[in-house]
Amino acid sequence: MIVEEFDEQKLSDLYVCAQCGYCVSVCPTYEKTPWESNSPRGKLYFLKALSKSHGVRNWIFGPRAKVSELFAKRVYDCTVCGHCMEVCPVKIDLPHLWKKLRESIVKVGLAPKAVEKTRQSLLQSRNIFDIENSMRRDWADYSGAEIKVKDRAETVYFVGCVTSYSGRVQGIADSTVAILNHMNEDWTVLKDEWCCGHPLAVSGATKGFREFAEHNVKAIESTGARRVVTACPGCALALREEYPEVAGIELRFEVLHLTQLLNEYVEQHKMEIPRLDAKITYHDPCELGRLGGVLEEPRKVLHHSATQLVQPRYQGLNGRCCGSGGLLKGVNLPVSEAIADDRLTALSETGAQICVSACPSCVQMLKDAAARREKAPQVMDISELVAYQLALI
Amino acid sequence: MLDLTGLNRVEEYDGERGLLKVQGGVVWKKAIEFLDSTKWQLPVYPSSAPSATIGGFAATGGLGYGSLKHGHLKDNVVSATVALPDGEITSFERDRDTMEPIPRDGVTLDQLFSSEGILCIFLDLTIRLVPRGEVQAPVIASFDGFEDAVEALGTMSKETAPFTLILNDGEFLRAKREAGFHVPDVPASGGMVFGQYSGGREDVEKTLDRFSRITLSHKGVVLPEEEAQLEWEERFYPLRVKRVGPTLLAADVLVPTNAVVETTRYARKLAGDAGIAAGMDVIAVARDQTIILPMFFSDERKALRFISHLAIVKKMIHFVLRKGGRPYGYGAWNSFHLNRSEPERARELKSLKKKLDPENILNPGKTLMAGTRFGLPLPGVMYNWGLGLMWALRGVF
Repeated sequence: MIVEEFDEQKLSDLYVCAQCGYCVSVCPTYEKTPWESNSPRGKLYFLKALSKSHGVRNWIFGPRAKVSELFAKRVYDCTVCGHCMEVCPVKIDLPHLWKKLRESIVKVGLAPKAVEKTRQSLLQSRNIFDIENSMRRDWADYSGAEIKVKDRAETVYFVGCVTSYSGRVQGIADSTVAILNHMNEDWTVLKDEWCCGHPLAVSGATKGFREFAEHNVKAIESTGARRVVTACPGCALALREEYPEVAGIELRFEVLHLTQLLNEYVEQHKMEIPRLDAKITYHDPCELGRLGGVLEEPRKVLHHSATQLVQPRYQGLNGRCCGSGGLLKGVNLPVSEAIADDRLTALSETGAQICVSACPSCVQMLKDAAARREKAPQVMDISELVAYQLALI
Repeated sequence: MLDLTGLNRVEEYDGERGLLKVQGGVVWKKAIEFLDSTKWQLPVYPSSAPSATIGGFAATGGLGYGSLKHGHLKDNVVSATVALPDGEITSFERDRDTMEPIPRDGVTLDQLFSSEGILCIFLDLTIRLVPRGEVQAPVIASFDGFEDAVEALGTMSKETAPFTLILNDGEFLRAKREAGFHVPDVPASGGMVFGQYSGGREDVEKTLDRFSRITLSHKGVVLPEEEAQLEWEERFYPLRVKRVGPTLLAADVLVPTNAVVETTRYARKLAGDAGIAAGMDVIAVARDQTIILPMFFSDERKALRFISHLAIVKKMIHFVLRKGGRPYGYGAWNSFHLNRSEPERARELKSLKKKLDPENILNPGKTLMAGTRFGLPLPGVMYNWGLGLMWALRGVF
């Protein structure tokens, strides 16, 4: 019931894997729990053995491998950051393989409890925090942000669950709203935004995902918007890739991450950002950079936003994960936090005063990591830096 | 199974004398990156540097990128700490002036290198670094004829002083292209030589000129620098071709450069007889020595057909033994060839095994014998007959 769910390409990839181990040395969860079974190579080796567990040999000697709870745990001890795919010599599409594998694990009932809990929260409350969805825009009441809730608009600002509900990163929403207003965009938030559904897609609990996709797409289309802007790379990935791939929905609008819009403003000379006199560094969110292909835009914006931009160890396509992806934070918090601590160390080594990212989850993880140590750079989102430099917040 | 990647610290860096002490589980690429911002570089590292460990490479082949200029890894290690089978932790050193190994209880560092884990575990090594050089210039040339490419490789290896030179044949490049990766335009019957020179600006410029003249005299074309840079960055990824397999039968062999043409021709013949394709990746590791990695594209999902292909490796090794070559490593399946290919080394390993590991604790069933899961050794006769039979039946599968 596990590899049987794989299509021909994924089954073939199990044999294409050279077992070279290039993925092992970059896997953030393996680094923290260095069991071979926790490495991408180990998981593929196991899956290959599973795919051979049939026929006469199986009947005589027994199966080569059996799916256990421990294996299921290993499958979820993964941030789905895609670094394994980046270094893979044969370019196996591992993030998609991990997601498909998780779907199979959910089907056989071996997924960690946190996965089912998240799914239940989403189905009941339409957000990952299990809070009344009617409270989704309360952040604006607290901060006084001038949000737009209109029937029709050119642009929809898709806020996302983390930004809406997590107090530590609500500044991202304030800043995004301030920037959109400053640029006189014709924009609106959705009257009834639901979670983008990405936590369902990435955890393999895809039953119900389509409902989320359909709801949000219908809500967006009802505004007549030609584009959706979000500051959350997970939401962007869900809207742009997972809605068509997982839910089979054809989009009639463009999906932009905020950094792409900011870069558009800067390149077209619509926005001039006074440079902050500081040394800053940039942490690539995996779902924006490596998995979303947005690498240059944030850097270009940051070059315009501060006097000195320094690159950390491991950046761009080889950027290291912050530890929050793939539902790892819910499934294995200690490992998730240890990964964040390492990432903050690498960012701190640059000597930057400010560490900028472009993702509410990354910012939250790195802020938490900074709070765990005596001395650390200030952590902020790119939207906050730009809005601050424009004196909008 | 011992996983040494927990021993992952760079212990000491001596920027004055150019020495780097690293633990055995450090991955080579990490050491390369560590030295990036210094005036030093590693003298030699394996083509699998992104995952191979320092201790693992010392325990196995020890020849790789950089060997053409700086020799075997063991020639560049001034000291090492090892764990012996009885649990004793011992340090071995070389005389810093003469670089001669200093024996300890009758055993030297050189004897422990490439002993494939049957004698000791490398815990740390102190590597003598080489100056980075003012200029590092990647080079690349394409040849319409494979034999011209091999001759050019031989001349370049002898008459210039490259850090590394690598030769891919047209079939290897075709497979890589088919796998979806960029490769320069080289005909299937041709070859491509690429690599890197480093040193003072003036010297490198003169050498590049010599590289161009050797290329032209062998009817080749020097390709643009951007192409050279791209291929140099690709040096860690020869396995990209596996996508077209999906199984690769690799029969890594060390052969004299003057036997490369014959050996690769024989490899292609074997591939033709088996009805499969094969590509050649050749690394020059000395002025007159190369490692050939013939990659035979098979498919283990077709089990019987795949087993019949296993005879290819045996046949390749028998062929290179006649040409003065040998297997690059022995492990279990090449252990049958050790006595014939390196009789003195075989005697030495047996004697050291008896002395250091009489209980056969480390890596049992490898190098000196092919162990089975039932604890009994697989006789060489059975191996030869079995594979011979499968090869004879290959047309049936």
